[in-house]
Amino acid sequence: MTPSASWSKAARPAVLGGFGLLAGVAGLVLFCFDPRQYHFYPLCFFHKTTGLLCPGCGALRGLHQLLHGHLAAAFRFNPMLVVSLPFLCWFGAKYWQQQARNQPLSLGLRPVWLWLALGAVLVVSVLRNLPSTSFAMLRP
Amino acid sequence: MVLAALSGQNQVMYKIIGADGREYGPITAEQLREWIAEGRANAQTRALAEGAAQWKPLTEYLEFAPALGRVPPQWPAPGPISITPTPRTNSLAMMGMLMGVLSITCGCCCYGLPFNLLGIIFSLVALAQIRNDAYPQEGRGLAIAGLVLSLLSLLLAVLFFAFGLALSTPDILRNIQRL
Repeated sequence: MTPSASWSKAARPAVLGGFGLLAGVAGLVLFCFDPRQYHFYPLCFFHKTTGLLCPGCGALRGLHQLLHGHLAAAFRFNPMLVVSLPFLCWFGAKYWQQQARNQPLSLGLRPVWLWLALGAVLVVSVLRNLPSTSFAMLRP
Repeated sequence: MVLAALSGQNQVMYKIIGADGREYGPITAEQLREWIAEGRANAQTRALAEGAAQWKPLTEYLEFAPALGRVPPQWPAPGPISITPTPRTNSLAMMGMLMGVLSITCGCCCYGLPFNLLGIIFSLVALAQIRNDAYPQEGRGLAIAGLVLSLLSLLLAVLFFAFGLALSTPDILRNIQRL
């Protein structure tokens, strides 16, 4: 085993613990303080400077709703977040398992799906910036 | 019963197909192990056991697993008998692309921060792996796309951070003067 590999193995619990703690604190803050009322959250500079909605706009408000169990409200703020979250959790768990078992990392996906995901993100991002009311559900 | 089957396997003759497309054998399992040890056959070499209907790569023959495991991985295997394995998609290239897509999506809230840096690292390592590996791997396009997306996200983050700072500088200065 190379030194870097053994180091990464030793540091793994610390790194995981650190990230877990950070995520926990962030989740708690997001649970307690609604981004619609409290403005200490980082602002989207893309939205501030261009006035356009970026793909992630509404994600914090959506996550706040999701933490309170309001799935429909979360979907209204950022549909992409709600749709992608189960997949991200699945890949995260898979990554963790592969790390723990010392297996080579693999997403277990055909590359086509990643291209489709990129395409979907781009299409939704364009659609949510169009003025038509039929795309209003894509806007926060 | 199992023992009988195991000892019986030693008598099975094998044929293999070399890189030149020619058939070699029939040979005994012992001889085939020697060929593996010499690097004349490898895990991807297609073989036909006596009495079997289908050609299969040597990895699928459990009786050769120890012999294949002992050989240091050398690609392409030296000697006259070797076959190029089917190309596989580099998994780090996939990770890089996933991070790239995430960094573009999260570009707004936290400057896409964990994802664009991870995407750059994953994609660069994947590109190096694909270039340096002697046997072909797929995923170059994925890695490049992941790299481009991550870099774009990082560039936008820096640009908008600087822009936002410049916009709010008068406010900050006014606050400082008020102090």
